Amino acid sequence: MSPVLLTLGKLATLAPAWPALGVLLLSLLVLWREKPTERSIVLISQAALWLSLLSVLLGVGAFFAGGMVPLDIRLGHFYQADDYGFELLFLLDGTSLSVALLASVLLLATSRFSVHYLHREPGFLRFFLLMLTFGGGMLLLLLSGSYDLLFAGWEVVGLTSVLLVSFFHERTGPIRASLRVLVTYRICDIGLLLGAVSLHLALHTTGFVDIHHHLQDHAEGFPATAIGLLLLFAAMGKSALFPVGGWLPRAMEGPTASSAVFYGGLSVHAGVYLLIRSGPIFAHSPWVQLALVLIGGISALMATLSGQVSADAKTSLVYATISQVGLMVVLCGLGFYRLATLHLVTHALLRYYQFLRTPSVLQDTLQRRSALGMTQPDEVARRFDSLPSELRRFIYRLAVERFEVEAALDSWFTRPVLSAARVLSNLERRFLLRLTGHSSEDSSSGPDAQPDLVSKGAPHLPTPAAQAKPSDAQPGGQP
Amino acid sequence: MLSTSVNTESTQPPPTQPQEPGSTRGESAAPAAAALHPDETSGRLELLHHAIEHAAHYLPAQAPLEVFVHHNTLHAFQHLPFHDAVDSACRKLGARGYLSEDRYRAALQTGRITASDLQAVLNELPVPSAWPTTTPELPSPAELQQLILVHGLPAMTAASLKWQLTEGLAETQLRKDLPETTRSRILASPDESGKTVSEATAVRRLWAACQQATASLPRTTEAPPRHPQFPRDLLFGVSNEDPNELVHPVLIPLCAAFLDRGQSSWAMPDREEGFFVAWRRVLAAGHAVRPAWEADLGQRVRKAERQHEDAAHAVLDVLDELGIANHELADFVEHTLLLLPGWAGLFRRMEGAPGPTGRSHPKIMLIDFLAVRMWLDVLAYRDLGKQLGHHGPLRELRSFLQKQPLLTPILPHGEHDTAWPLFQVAQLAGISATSLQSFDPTLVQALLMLINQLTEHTRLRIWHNAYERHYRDEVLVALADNRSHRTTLQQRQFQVMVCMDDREESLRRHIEEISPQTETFGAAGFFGLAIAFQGIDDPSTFPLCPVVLQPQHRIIEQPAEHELHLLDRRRRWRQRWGRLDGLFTRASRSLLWGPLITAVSGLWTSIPMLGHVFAPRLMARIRRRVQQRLLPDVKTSLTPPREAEGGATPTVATDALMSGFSIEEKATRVATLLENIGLVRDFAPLVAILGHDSQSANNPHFAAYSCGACGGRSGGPNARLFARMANRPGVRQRLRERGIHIPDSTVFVGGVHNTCADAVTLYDEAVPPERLSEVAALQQLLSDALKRNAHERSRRFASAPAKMSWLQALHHVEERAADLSQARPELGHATNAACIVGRRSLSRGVFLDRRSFLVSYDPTVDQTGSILERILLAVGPVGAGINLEYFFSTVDNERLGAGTKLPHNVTGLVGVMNGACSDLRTGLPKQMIEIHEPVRLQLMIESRPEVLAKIVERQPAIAELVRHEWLCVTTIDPDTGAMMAFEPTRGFEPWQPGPDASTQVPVVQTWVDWYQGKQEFVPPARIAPPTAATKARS
Repeated sequence: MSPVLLTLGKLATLAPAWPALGVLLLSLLVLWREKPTERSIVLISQAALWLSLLSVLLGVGAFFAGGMVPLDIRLGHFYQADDYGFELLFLLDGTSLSVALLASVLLLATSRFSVHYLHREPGFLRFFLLMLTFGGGMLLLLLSGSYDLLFAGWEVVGLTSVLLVSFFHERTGPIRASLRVLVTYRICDIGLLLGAVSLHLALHTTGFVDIHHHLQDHAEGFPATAIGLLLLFAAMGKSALFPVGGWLPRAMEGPTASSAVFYGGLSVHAGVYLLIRSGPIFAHSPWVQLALVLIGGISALMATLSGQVSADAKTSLVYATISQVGLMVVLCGLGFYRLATLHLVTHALLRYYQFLRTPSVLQDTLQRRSALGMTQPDEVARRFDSLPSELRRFIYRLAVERFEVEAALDSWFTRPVLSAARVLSNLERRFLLRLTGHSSEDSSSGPDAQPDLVSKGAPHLPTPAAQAKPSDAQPGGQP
Repeated sequence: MLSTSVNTESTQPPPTQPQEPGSTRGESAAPAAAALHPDETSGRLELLHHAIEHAAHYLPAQAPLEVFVHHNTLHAFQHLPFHDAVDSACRKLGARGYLSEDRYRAALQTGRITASDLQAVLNELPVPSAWPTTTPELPSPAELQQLILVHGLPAMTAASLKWQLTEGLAETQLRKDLPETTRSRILASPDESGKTVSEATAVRRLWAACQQATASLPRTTEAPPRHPQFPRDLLFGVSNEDPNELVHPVLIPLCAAFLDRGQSSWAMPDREEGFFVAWRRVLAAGHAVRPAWEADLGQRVRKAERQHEDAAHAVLDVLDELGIANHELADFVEHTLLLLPGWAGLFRRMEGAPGPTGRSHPKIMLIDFLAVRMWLDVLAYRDLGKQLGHHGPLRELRSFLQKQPLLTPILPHGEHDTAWPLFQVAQLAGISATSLQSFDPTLVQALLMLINQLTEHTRLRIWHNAYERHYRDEVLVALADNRSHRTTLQQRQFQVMVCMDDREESLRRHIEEISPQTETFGAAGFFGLAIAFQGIDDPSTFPLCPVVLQPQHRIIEQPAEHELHLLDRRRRWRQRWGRLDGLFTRASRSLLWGPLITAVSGLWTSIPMLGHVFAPRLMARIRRRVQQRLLPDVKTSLTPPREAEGGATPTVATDALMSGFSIEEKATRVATLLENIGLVRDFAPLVAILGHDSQSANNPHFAAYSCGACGGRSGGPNARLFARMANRPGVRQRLRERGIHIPDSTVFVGGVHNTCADAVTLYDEAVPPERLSEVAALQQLLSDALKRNAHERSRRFASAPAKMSWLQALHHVEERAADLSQARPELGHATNAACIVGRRSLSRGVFLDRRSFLVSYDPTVDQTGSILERILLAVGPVGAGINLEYFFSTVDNERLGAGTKLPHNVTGLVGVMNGACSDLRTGLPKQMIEIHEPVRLQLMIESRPEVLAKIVERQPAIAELVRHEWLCVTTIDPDTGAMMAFEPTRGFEPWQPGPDASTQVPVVQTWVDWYQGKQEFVPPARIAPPTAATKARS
């Protein structure tokens, strides 16, 4: 690698840094003067995102100038102890650069779109801060050369996603929805964390290039299935695959622009990107590949049917997105990573645009009908007409109830886990009480009465303490 | 299965013995009830239907979005006087009916309300009856009321009072907002020993005196706040858990699927059977995994399906199960329907008229919705009840819950609503402890009564009246001033007739500024032609008239004979595009086509996407260019008249619409409109009639911006048709017989004004060729005026530069119309506040800031008032509807409006939700009303009060609006200019400007001078008479 290319590559790795700098500037602006004007917020955000785009373009230039050889950029260690270190690795190859280019273009478009769209919104600053943070996280995720760094970006993306779902935090609906997203992300992120730790244990590195080389030379003894399944679990959460995809339709609570960039464009594809990056690991485990095909296929099928019966613009688009993301996972399972990347990029562009245009759906439909000389909607799902009516209703019910995946998860997983936790916590309490010599009667309202936060079907009850307390805590509001 | 409580409403005797409550609401329950008490069931059925009818009034009446038409949000309360209606609506719907007190107080700061406005309103309040005649140390009641209003008397709860007294400073410091004189009056007062004391001591003594003064008083007689009555509120009050959180996510997607007009590609099966049946058939199909709370739903629906239970009986079963007695049935039904008012309202609205729903025609009934909702409710109530420890039958749930403590207990009256307000008022009035102690108990009581009279609702009412009064006075002063500066037109170059719409006010002003020889008129934008219209691109006819009218005449736009081939080409290309678009939309969402479509088109979509986002105006131009290239413009004409018959036997078309108008009908309609607007003499050589329409991108509420008088659509076809009618020699002949002499040299031309992009299209196809140059001159005049119009509009847009040329302004509004990201393509009627019915001379030359509907009416040709009656019948309801919808959407955007547009999600092509699952949002979104000043329509009519009084007597629809003050009427005498304001109790009274109202109306040289650089509302001004220079230019 020529030093010039290397320098260019290093400049390209600044792409995630610009939005981060933008966030910093905006924060300073808030500290300096309480309410920055919309104009200044927009100026900073757009400057940061243009610089990001420029950085990525530099990377693209370097990549092509270097004969399309992946640029493996090592910027030293960010943590080192004794002989073990965590390297700051970036990998600029066709996959990362194409998706990063997509990301920076979509981010720029979103920031431009939001100038007018969010004008006068009380959360204007918050939106741009979150979008910049997300942009930084996403670009870090895409350009990183190791699972460690990818994980950092991954978490930032998840957190901003949760915060944008609850953008309208004065209503309860968005808060509930964002909690759902948060819980799903938290649980599934364990997969990525454990995967990265296992890689450290097994290979003493999480760099994509190093893993690739290592596995090429001696793959025996490498726990590919275990690590592969962990990574798949992580991707399932982010990409809303079966069976943990229930959060995505609920996540439409934020402004249309953020729904577009997160769930039409970037965030939902991050899982697929992780799978593409993990190709070398999957190659060593047919079981994981089978799991990819199955999970992707089931997700795609269910989402397509659910999308057909959804009667609102955003939900139907969300399911259309999941169905294609499911197909990308199938492609990964079959080993067509290039194809998956191509599908990812084109799909993100298309879906993003469709999401931005969801408020147009009524105008578009009326215009289309008038062009075709129709006064009635065209129901395309006539193919179901030939089915016996009972079967038709059955399939319709499954589709409209989203195949009851959530109810099943709730009864077969969430509730048992929570009851087990409760039993264990009870046991612990009794054990401790016995240990300290107290009788167990006088504290019967212990963890048993604890709120059951996660399970949808079991809303939490007020603890006796909360019931007894009158509403003294009302704000005074008096001079 | 009634509860044992004796019902008072039903004529049936109460059951002799209480029914044995079934252990589980078992197989025998419903049939048994029916078998044992058939009369009672039918009586209850009747009660239920009455209850639904009654409750349905309170649901929003908004139609599906594509035919959005403005109406009074509180139409259910319209039989009440305005302020009472607002009060009841606040109680029933839990909504706000006015701006907040803080907003009004801020308006007082900025001068939007003046002290004399407030004083004038307060003077109309009755003086407390028990007010002592001599109260040396006290300000007068009106002064006290003003003090309370201006400084505010924040409500206090018992808990916060306790907190204030133990922690806060209220007891040691005077209010911060007291003027120095008042402060010193309180502080200067010596104590018993004659020494002056510190602030803390003085305040503490005052507080003690207030406590003492009120200690012996009886508690206020106000009824205590109501305890929750029904299970949902009880559950929420006791546990803070909302059963709706369980029910709505299940219910809403199915409502959307059932009412869908083409969003989903697979419609709900069995829609023809009604929601209840379709819902239970879908649920009963196959086995299901259900969340715990819905556990036995499957069994229940299967049983109902076996027994063919109908919705009404299903509702009755649930009412029995919940133990709802007959006397609370109506309340319960209302309460239940108002839990999701948007969806319930849409069910009601679409009842029997589903519109384009595809192959299956759903049977839409509100009672079906109620049945499904209540079935789910019961399950949720039972589940939450169980978690709270109630395992008995559901009918006992309420008594169980009533025994539980509420999380926010309702507290009794106490010092917080007696001593505390007195303490505050004493401070405001500068009463020291010593003088308070010297007060007679009756005086204290009178003082408290005065305070109690000023409830929050009363205070807001006073504020609001002052707020409106200020605006009215401003306009009336300007109109009175303008009277002495009228100029008469000698010679008329053009006459332009536009819609009465407030958005056309500025256009008219600019036309008149540029061309002083042009006269403008305003009339309801369908120009008296109620038609069913089908353009060359439309698949069917649609009504172009106010929604209250039923069109009788069908008008079809027909291509010229020699251009049929062009039309063919146009249709072919449109079909190609439609098929492609449909294919693309569907295939991009299909499983197998999806990858192919994305691979083929994904990268290409980035071009329109980036184009639309970064250069919307350029994209729109390219799009138009492509359209012009592919879709040829076709010369067309409208349905030829039914010349053959004499009008007595109209040829009835298949769909009961008459094809076109006969000559007689045409003459009548043309004459009516011309008489309405007073254009019966002095015709200009060219008369333009402009309908209006609006254009916007990415906007589900597009219909709300179009012409309300045309059912939320374009008024262009009406204008075009009117011009063609008025040009026909036969019509002119008949008009002459009626005394309207239109010179042969006069030509009418129709057109349409796009209020968002400020463009105008003239339909000159029927203009004689030798007159086309005049039309071109008119087009030039309109284009110039529209640029200025765009410029004036742009002053209110934050994204428009503060200083720009007229052309730049035009480009700016063109961009707004095409911009996907623009949540405010235009501001709609957000400025409307007044309606002036009269000759243009009344308002010509006055800057009304696009705030007034302008309806042309000439009182000199209407001695009997019959023309005015006709006009008011059309203008009153339409104007009040627009005005009141903006009013209520503004004062409570969350409950009476649609909230912010940003999370809106178009559902079933009929409405919008927030996100993926919420109630249907009705009313106007926040982006439409942000700058609106909620002011009732100030209707100013150039007529005499007695004429108006007679009309009000004859027309109940107008009487309701006027007598109940849904709009505020002022008459302006056509001869003397004397103004009389209507007041419901006292009738018409001479109007006079307030004492400190400025009677000097600013005079400006050009309109630009007056508005430039100002973002907020601009008060009226008068333009200086045209100078020699401007005269020469025109």
